[in-house]
Amino acid sequence: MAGAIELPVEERADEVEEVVAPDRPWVTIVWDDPVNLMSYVTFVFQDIFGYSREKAQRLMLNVHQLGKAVVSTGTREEMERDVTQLHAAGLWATLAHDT
Amino acid sequence: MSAIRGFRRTPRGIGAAFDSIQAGVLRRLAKDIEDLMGQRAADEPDTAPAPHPDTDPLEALFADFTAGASTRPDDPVLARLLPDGYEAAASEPTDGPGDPDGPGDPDFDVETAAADFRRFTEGELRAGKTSNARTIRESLPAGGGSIQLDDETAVAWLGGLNDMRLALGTALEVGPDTDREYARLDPMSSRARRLYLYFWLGMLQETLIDAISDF
Repeated sequence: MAGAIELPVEERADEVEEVVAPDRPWVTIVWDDPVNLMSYVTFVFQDIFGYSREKAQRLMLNVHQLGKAVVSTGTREEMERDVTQLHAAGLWATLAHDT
Repeated sequence: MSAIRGFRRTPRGIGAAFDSIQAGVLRRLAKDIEDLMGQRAADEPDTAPAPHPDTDPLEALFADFTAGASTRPDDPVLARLLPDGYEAAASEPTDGPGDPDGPGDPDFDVETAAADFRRFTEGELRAGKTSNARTIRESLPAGGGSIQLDDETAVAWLGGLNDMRLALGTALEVGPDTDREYARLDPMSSRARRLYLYFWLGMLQETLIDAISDF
């Protein structure tokens, strides 16, 4: 395990979060829009996904700064459920096959 | 409408006070959302014909399930409130529009998926938005006054206020520069007054988020 020592801790932590299991190839994407408040988007991510405030805030900032962000991954059925809940909350969300 | 204190958590729940003008505006906007949703339901382009009395009951049930609208509304406000669940641009991030099936997935068609998703989910989405708007309208005395919300009602208010801002923001074509535009407008112009209302709803929503999160 010598190689692992060379990786900075934060980098490894990031990597773990981005990993998508090969048998769960769908993603829910939230798109930036000029109306939804940043505090509201954070609240919705916490409420729907049970994410920590920190994680919800980071995802919200990704949406805001990059124009979109993947907010959850899973089966197609799971992502349809997530998109349905995000639409109910008024967020602009779509699901797609992860590429 | 004067400056607001908005919502605050109190020992009895989440409270706010609205004067008669504020209450009237909120009730009117809530009614607008309810009407928009009702209109869309009435206009459903793909409503299936009523099943024949001799129809197999299972088939009739299936007809009910497939009766929903399958196409995105033309009206931009409705399209924003009831968005597509699948979009071509979203499904082919690395692909040009020339390849509608996306890379390595020839059986997947975005438009069919979007139509199916809408057919199965739009009715419930409309029902939720209608219910949130009605909650706001029914908890507000027409002449204004104090209200107290429990947590469940407060979350309905939060979603309902957001729908009002989505509708108004889309109609006013609000964008990232609207703040600056607003500062230059004649405050008595109709656009300035509508934008003022839009910003006021945003401030109100912020106080509600704080009040809900403050436990």
